[in-house]
Amino acid sequence: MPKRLIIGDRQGQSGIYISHPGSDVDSNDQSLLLDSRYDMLRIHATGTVRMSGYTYSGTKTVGIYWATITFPNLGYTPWVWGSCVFRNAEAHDLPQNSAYYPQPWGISTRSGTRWTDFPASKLTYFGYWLENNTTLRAKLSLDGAGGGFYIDFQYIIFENKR
Amino acid sequence: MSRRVFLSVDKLRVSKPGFDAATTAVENLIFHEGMLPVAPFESGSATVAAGGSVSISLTRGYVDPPFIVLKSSLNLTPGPGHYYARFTTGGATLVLLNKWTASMVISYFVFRQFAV
Repeated sequence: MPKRLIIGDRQGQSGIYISHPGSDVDSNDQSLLLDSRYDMLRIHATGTVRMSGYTYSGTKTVGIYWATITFPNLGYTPWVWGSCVFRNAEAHDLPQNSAYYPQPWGISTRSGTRWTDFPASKLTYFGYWLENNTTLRAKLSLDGAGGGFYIDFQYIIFENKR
Repeated sequence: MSRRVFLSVDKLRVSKPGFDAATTAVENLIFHEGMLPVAPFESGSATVAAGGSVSISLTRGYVDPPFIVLKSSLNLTPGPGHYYARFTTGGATLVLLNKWTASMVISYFVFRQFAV
């Protein structure tokens, strides 16, 4: 059975090292399960919330959605990741129960060009941002009336400092 | 040299270089006993032709779409005009779409979900 754990010196660098099953921790042939030379993503908070929505009728009619997440203060600005899931069968042309990676995008992505390769052609904007060290906000807009659709915002707030 | 590893009855902490593992703040730790790591759940890759798509059936169950990271063999960033993925719950299907002008291998890494 290969050696899998080192706490202390490994090749001149002090730390903690754990190899994958079947791999020797002294070997450089494979990546390690835990390698303290490098940082890791660590989760601080995560969840899914239903976005609030309403129809705005001005010079243009749009559906506006938003969400506000409050999370415990780490004392610094953390990394965040967000996305959204479209729950309706017919939220305009947004595919039901689908999420996009790296994230949904829409008409405003580049020079106002509508991306015909993206099924959700009614999506005009999606974004999220940290208002401060305890508040994450998300916003999404759709062309045309659409305050009654079900759109969930998913988020991960990492412990890692931005 | 600062202590990089601190082990006690109820603590196991590993710090970044230059920080004392026993006393430093959490943002300077690489590993600690209370952390929730972002653990890879499953991964794979597929060759996707220019303008084409490949459908992948993920093997684990997901209540909500999980955190997914994509990588291209052409070293392009994921997004519109390059490549992206669509995840659908239920069948846990991941569709890899290549919108670039050349074939590429798209690798995907799906991470475990946590309820915090």
